[in-house]
Amino acid sequence: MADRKLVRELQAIVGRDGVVHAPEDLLVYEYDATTQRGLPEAVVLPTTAQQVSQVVKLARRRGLPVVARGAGTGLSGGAIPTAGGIVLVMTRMRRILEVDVENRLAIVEPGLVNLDLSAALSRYGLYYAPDPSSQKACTLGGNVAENAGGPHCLAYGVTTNHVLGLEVILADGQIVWLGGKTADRPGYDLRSLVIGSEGTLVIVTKIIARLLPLPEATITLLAIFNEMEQASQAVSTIIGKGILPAALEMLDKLTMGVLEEAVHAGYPPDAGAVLLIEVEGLPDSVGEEAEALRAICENTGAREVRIGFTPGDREALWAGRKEALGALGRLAPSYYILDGTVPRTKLPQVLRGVYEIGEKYDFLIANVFHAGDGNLHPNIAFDESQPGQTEKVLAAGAEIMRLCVDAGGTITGEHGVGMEKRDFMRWIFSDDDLEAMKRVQVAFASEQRFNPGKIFPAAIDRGEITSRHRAVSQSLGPDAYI
Amino acid sequence: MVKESLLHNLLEAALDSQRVFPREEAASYIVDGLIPQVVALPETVEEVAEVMRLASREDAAVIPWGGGIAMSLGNTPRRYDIALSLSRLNQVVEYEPSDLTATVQAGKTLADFQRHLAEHGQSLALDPPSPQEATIGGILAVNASGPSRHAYGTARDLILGMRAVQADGRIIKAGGRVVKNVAGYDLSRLFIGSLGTLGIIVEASFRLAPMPRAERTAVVSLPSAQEAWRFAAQTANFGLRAVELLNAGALRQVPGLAEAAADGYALVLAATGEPAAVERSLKEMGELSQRAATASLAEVDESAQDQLWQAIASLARPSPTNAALVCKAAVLPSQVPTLSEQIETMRRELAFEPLLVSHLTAGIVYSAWPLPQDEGVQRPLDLATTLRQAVARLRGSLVVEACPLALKEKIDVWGEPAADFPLMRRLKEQFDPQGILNPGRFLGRL
Repeated sequence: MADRKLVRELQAIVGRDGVVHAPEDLLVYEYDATTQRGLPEAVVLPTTAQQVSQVVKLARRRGLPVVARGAGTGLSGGAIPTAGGIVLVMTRMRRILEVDVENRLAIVEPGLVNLDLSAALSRYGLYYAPDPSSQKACTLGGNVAENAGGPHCLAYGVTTNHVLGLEVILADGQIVWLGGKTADRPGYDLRSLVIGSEGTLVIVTKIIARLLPLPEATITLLAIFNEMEQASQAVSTIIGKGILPAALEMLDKLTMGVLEEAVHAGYPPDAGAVLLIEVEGLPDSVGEEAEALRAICENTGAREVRIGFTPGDREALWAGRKEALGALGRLAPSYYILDGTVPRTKLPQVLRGVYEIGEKYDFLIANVFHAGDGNLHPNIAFDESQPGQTEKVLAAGAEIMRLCVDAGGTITGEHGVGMEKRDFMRWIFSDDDLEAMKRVQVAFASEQRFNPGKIFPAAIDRGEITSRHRAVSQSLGPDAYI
Repeated sequence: MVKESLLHNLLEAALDSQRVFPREEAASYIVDGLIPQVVALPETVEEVAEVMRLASREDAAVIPWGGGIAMSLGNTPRRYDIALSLSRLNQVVEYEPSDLTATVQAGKTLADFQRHLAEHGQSLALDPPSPQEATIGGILAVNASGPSRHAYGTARDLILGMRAVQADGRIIKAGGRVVKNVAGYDLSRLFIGSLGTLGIIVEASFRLAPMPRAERTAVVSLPSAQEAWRFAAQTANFGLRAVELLNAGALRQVPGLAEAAADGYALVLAATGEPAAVERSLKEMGELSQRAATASLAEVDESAQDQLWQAIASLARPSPTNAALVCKAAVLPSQVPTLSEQIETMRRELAFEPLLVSHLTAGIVYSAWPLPQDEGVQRPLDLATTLRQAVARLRGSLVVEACPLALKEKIDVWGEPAADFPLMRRLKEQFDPQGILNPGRFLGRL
């Protein structure tokens, strides 16, 4: 709970309605889309970079941590104030400050919702490419913090490929720009360091986003396979043949069964797996690409390939993919969403391993994921209320992460390290590697100030306050899908 | 002070006499007039680490070398004891075509690497000048790019991870080999463009691109840069790989293009992708040029286009024999015409004949100003200063990539550091506290 003096000082900066401090109101900011917890002393909703700067200066004088937060849709505990302190909720800073159509860039505030940017840009024939699955709710500031991805990152890249510059608040409250509107700026690429730094280096107050022209034509294919191995083989063949679709997603049998019960999305529940593939570009080329993709899928054993040309048909094919996460709630009271990447050629082997781990621990594991990127999202269904289940699900999750690492992959493709995976960092990085990263934090002088207790293993991150790790559950909201 | 003989002996112990040269044989490793005490040619990552441990112990300044083609870039070194050549680390470490990824050592030349990938119909989508000599490590250290950045971006868009040897000899890894990875701080992108001042890149993993099934090149002659910009703006959806803008001076240097523009500009555009889409893009560009009264389009013969693009890529490369001032300006793409016109005015006032080559859609304008051998420092200084002021008015940046040594002593070739510089200085202090990696050569003489 906040002391009165702190509240008064914060109110002097952001006004009375910009501070939340009643204990019952603070509870809302205790968690994100994970169910890990951490209670802040005060929650502040700034409206300007100046206010953020003053709050950071106040926190510094008082020795309090500051955790910036967008919509709270994160899946790694990134927004949880593990060491208390001040939570900065950025959602009141959500203006589009400038759209430069000629140069295809926009300057926006970090609280802007991802999809709202593309919606506002459509009249210029432009859009912002990274499309995390929570894009109806998640903010661009959160996307920058996590270096967010999404289904269409296969062709277009993730957040770091689409952000040119950032206005940030340093740990001493100073406001500076990193990167900018023009390319190849001399000096170190501090912009890249901040993107994906999970709020541990600076607080972002403005974002220069790179925009793309809307594609002239889009075709969606749904390829249905009897065996998951066949679908995996199709993915390898597509990539190996040099076709890079805009999106290449896979759903497994368990997911489709649940989906059919829940929403009748039309994915055949007896199939082993489906691939959802999207191609974009000139009308002349997408037709050829779609035909080539259909041929590959049929040659690798697809029993049926459905093709959607109109927006309505395409939406129908995507419906199941977008409803998948919500539908999985039917499997069990809770589910634990994992995020790991493996080389695309290792997908069949790793998926086999994932199911084996499910059998070993007696959990149902549903797989819905970005196959084209090799980015897996196994969802472990479990019942949090049963004693011992949470520990067991975490153990199974760790084993799956280990599987990804052993296959030459990594522990997170797009959700971030956060709290959940900090102890897995040693599986992929040596002490020397982690120390080099730690040096970045020292250079930014942000170690104890911004989002402590994230990314680094506890032993490396001396002085952190550990919090109880709990499993991911059902708090994602109706529109979320991974 | 470093004792030459001691250093030499230690290096011989760490490597062997076949891979260490003394100063007398180090003349080709000259940087801005300085010759190193010793040249080391390690063959393994561990040997690079050994050299750095030794350099750190001896407080010896190290300048890493790749192909040596961009050594004119940067301020004059504060000191220079060891030339560390990565040329013998030239292996492809891992290549799985079906993953569209590859890991390669820093000393591999780009051309060698591309040949390897081409066997599987793939490539690294980077086309900086001099691919025969340019090494992967060198390209990353200077963040070199070429016309293809229009479609594929720069090294920072293609990198997946890297290994680097730190100033104290410790070997670190950042990122990984998979295409999506957000574990930890993005040190790979930080190291790109840091001119070897934070660590020595020894290995890099990239996402690759399938070779397009078709490519055709068109040259559109236009009377002004402004009209070129308007033309290019209408090609946004055409699936182009490159959109280069050349002035008459540059066009005269490219075989086959000399007649393309009497005194104006030419856009050189490459359309790539599926054959049908390439045909359509070409056709629509033809129609665009017919509608514009002052434009004329010529298609480049398919057999000649590779050579044409190589010639364009090397236009702004500083010539090793002729003195020249080579500047790289970065402005908003829409301001390229304004800057080009200002440079034309300077050309008339100063009686120089610059070559202008722009990566138009990236807002990058290279200007190369040939200088007479007996040129003093004043005119190039005036030129660089005027150019820098023009770019500053457009809120862009200007790097002097090559210039006479006398000029380097009077300017910071990178320009004035900005408000983020204290952070950069602290990073340098963290990663290289002794200041032994390329000391003095980077922005703000870091």
